[in-house]
Amino acid sequence: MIEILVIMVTGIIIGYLLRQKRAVFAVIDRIVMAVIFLLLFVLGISVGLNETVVSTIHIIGIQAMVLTLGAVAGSITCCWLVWRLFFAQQFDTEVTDER
Amino acid sequence: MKGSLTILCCFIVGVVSGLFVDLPAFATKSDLTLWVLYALIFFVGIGIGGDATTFSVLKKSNIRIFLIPAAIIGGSLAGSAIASLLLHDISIRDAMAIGSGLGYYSLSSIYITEMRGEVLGTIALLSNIMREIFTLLAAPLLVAWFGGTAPIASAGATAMDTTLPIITINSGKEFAILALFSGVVLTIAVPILVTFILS
Repeated sequence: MIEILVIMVTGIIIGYLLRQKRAVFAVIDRIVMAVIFLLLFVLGISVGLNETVVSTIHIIGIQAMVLTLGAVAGSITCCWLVWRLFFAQQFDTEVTDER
Repeated sequence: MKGSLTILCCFIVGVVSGLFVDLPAFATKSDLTLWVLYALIFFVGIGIGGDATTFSVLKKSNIRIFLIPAAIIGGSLAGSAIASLLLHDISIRDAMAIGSGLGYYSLSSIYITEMRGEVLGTIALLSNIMREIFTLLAAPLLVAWFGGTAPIASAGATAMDTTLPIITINSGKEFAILALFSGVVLTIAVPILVTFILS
């Protein structure tokens, strides 16, 4: 977790220093997309290689899926409510101001 | 949507490769995922740092910003508790322990395996992997239907690393710092929540 934060902060500082060079960021966005594809491919490999996951997915996969959908739906609903109640108005004005 | 389908294809090709192809050693070492993730985080950081609107979410939010991860935790616990009513052999408490994993599958599944055995641990692993994969695949739809915070809520603890790029692309860079903040708070909360619920 520490590594992640250090790498992220290093990136943010470099990005901040480069902020005037707009052409760089078009390239960065494309690199990010390409690396996401690579990450999902690699993640897929580790799922395919994990015998526990592969051999049990049809038995307990449904249970896991039901719990996931419940948790995700609950999180999205609560977060949406909090955002509407406490943040949305201020955030919208502020972003509009800066544009 | 096109992006999501491409991502799904990459994932499926990966699963099939893992299952049937005799891969070279460097591709099967779990370290590879980690290094690809580091590269991704680095480039995402550059994108965030160069964006003027990035810090606007945090600027005036102050202490209220903790409401976002708090709402995500509350929603996740309530949602998994309700979902467990559909499942006969999973108790509400066990379901809430799985829900409190918030997508942090490695840690939560290890904790749950130790405290409740391998079956529940594996369900926790699958459920939280699904949460991450669901967020990666559905992020564009979530933003379209429920707004910019929806993939952050769906991502849970993974909003600080694996799902951060996809959140940044779909919700906008102005949500990136909020996602990172929420992900960090939730990552810290997971071991505390799982232990608290199961003890």
